[in-house]
Amino acid sequence: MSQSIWTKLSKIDRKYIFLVLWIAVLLPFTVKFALPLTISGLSRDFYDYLDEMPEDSIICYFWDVSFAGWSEMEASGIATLKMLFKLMDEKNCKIILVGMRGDCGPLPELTLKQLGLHPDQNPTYGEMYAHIGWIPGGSVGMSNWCKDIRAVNPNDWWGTPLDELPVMQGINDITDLDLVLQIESGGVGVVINQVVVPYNTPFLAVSIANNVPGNLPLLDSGLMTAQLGGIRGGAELEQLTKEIGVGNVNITAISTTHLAIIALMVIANLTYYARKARGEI
Amino acid sequence: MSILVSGRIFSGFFLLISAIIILGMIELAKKGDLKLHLRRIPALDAIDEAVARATETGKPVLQHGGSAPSAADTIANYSIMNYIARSCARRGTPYVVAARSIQGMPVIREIVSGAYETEGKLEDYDEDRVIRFGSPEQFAFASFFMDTIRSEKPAFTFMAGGLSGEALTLCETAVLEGSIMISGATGQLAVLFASSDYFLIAEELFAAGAYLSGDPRQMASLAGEDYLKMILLALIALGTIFRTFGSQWLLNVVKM
Amino acid sequence: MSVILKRREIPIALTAFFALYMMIAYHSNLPWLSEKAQLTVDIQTFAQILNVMALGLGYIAIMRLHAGYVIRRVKHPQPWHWSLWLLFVLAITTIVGLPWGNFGVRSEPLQFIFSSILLPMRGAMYAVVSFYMASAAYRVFLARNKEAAVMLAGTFVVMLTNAPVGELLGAWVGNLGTWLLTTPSMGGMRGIRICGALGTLILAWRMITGRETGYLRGAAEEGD
Repeated sequence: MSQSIWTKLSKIDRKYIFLVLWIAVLLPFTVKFALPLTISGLSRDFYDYLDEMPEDSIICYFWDVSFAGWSEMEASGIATLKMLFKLMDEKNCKIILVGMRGDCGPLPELTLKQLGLHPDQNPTYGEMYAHIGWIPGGSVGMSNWCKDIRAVNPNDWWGTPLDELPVMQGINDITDLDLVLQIESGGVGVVINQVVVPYNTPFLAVSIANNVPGNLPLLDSGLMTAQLGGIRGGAELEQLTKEIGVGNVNITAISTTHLAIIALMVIANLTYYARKARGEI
Repeated sequence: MSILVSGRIFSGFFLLISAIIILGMIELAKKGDLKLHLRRIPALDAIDEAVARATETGKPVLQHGGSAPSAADTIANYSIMNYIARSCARRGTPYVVAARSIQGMPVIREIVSGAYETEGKLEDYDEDRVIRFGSPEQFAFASFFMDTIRSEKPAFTFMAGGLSGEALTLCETAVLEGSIMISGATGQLAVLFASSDYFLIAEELFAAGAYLSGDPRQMASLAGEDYLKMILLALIALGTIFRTFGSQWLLNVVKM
Repeated sequence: MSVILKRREIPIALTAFFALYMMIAYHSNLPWLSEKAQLTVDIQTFAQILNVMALGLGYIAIMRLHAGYVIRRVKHPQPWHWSLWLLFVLAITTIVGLPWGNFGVRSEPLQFIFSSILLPMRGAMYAVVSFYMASAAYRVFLARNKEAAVMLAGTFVVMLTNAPVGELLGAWVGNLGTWLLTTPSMGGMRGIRICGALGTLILAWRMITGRETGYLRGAAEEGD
């Protein structure tokens, strides 16, 4: 007995679903169209907080996004970094890059190179910004780092002793920092537990979209000051800072893929109810 | 200078209260003065059925080894690993652990070989077949785990501990291969809940060790947890009332 | 001696001592028993070193495991030629990362391995997640009952909130999506976070008191 269309649809091979998604992803790159992007309250708060940083602030940017997560976080990572370096130029703020993951050495280095701020490209490296590299040991390492930076990282990522970098003069522990940012794809737990709660340091998170709902209680309770989420957050920050980048290029693909997945779910439900009405389930 | 660090006094006090309650409950359980009734946790009850199904079909049981052993959810996973390993050893069901963490490898080795030894089946334990090390790197391990699922075709897959972005791909692969999927996590709740047959949400994962052991003294700690929850709920209710009437008093106490 | 070292009381005692010490040091202001006390710093440094040493241990474990596969020409769990490939890649990355000549941790060849091999490979694997998400959504997200239907409707709204295309339907989509995230979802997540934190605390007390021994060898011996 031949199967009904609904039964066939319910047992559809995954490869056709993948094909639909492929088309949804590729469509915006072949047929150029842009959709309006409203700036959300979360992104606006994030931008406003950074924009209103006082002069001479010392900002630490924890780089805890993996190579895998970089495909989603590239937009927000670069937009945030550009904004921080603008603060460095305009308000004399000091910027320190560091992280807890193994990727947190090479990834910021590649990004600095992309922005022309690698020590090989920019002779002023070390005067107002530094890339310290990797804090080994996870939570325990972070706890130690907060008490004494040089005890854990005596040198920067390129091996220069921190004492020889003008930017690190007077910066010895977490209490010397005015703001902590973290770009993350694995959770904000360590920074919250080891930095925010013990030392009350203001904290901005640049999170992967998946983590945003889970972080909202932290935002609401004040443990987190502001949050930027996913590709959309990156695209919004690019628009706010007027530095259009990969976020705004990729955001249309977000729309088409979301619509494709919604369409698939609608078809799945129609199939389910049609089969139920026919007594097949 | 005060003895206690300012801003941490309340948390220290809460820690002390929690210690008194937990230890008190354990003592009561030791004396047999505690009548405990735990609600059923379907995901944990399903473990026995899943292992039984694996035994009947002759297919293996596959378990995710968790991430670094310093993470609480990985430690909870180890308790479940002990239980599942013993269950498999007892029934002669093939058992495979896919280890992700380098630091966790020796721990997993000890747990699993100890489980086989406890059941008197140490001769059935072949380390190379039972414990497979993938990679500490997230997606390299995901590829490895997916490949292990496709080659071993487990009847039952258990995942907990350090699951993040790759969790959904692992779940989907297991389910599409026809495996019963039980997972547990404190994050990535939505994707795992949607794609697993059974799911342990946060505290259920941490309660697993006590629940599965059936030891009254371990279960007493869960009763203690309930009392702590009541204290927290009372604080939340009081805090809401205080803040509604514009008082910062309770907030200042908690921030002490 | 090995009989003494194998006793489970030793790891339990060590766990209890270090956990209690760190808990007290976190809250105490006494110079000899605080976060900044030398002993505390030494303990944490020791833990950091152990953590990093484990990486080296893992390196040796991987080499041992896969060298064994190659020597024994195993076909299960994986054909031995993949182990040979792994050892080859491991050797290349190690040599390129050693500090000699044009090589080193920050050298161009190692940067090439990271930026041109690892980065795209990891990104590609992460991208696969979206395809599996679509496959899972098709299979699982069915409105089988009223609760599931409400959840499905919420899913649609939040997805459209995250995508700019949702704004074409009107501001109500974004407003409803934001309300869903910031009110019912946040309340639920808050509850889960609190309970998860309590669960972690109770697990810690069980480990400190020696009640939780699942991570130790032979955990279910009678009389514990």
